[in-house]
Amino acid sequence: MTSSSYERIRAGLAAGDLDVLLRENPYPRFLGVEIKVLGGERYYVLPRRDELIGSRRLGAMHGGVLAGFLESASLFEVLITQQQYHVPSPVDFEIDYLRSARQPSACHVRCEVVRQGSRVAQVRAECWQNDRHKPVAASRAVFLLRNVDNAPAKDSHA
Amino acid sequence: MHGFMELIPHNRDIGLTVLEFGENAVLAQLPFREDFLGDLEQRLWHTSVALSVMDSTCALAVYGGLGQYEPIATLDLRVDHLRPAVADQPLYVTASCYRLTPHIAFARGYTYQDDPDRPTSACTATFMRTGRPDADHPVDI
Repeated sequence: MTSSSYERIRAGLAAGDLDVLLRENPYPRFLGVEIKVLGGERYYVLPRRDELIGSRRLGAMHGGVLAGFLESASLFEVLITQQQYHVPSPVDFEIDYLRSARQPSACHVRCEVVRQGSRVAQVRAECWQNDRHKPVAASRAVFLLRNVDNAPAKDSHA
Repeated sequence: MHGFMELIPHNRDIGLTVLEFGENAVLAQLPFREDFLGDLEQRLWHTSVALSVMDSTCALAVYGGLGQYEPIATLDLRVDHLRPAVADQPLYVTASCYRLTPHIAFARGYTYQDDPDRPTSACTATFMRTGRPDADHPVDI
């Protein structure tokens, strides 16, 4: 590889290739996360897989996996909407579980970057299965942006 | 309870194993895999892996506090990412249940690598004891 991972992410996103995020992020790819754009809205999808079950009794998605899915999606949202030279560092993450995420339905996530300052981005995310008005989980995440001191001057988006 | 993680399909899939189980604390370990990376440039564990193992290990700590298995549901989970976890080393997860009420269990935990005094993340998690007759929260585990 001649280019760095960060450079590949930046080049891919600049070309509109969202799947570069999955190629460069092993864990979300391992979970099976997909990035979709439908009707101008961006969604993150986690299809059903037996390996993601946390409760065999209920056939429900593992709660920790759901948390990881929402955090990963939130980080992707920052990378897509804010042009970052480096991958931002997750600072903290909090999730409320609202309903059981029963299989076999896929989980869908929508993220919103609520605030983007020069140092941090704050993201809210909501996850649902069949009915967008019946969320299974909601989260908030904070990311430290690291491009301020490290980006070459030519990459400034100011 | 040392085989507890094996009973949960996802935990078995990622290789999370219980090293110590007791009333006051539990300790689990997750061996490193390339699949768990989040930053290929610096070769760091993805922080989302910590969320997953924290949820499971805090739940196990609740069973330790209860002294038995009973149905519980995660109400919420908060994780502070204190420092990066580096590739090629396992992640250790320790958790304890520090308050039990008839309906709610409070747990907290840490992940670390080579030094327990230098945690990579800290977590608090709240569970509802859904096996109680009047419990109504549906997110069981």
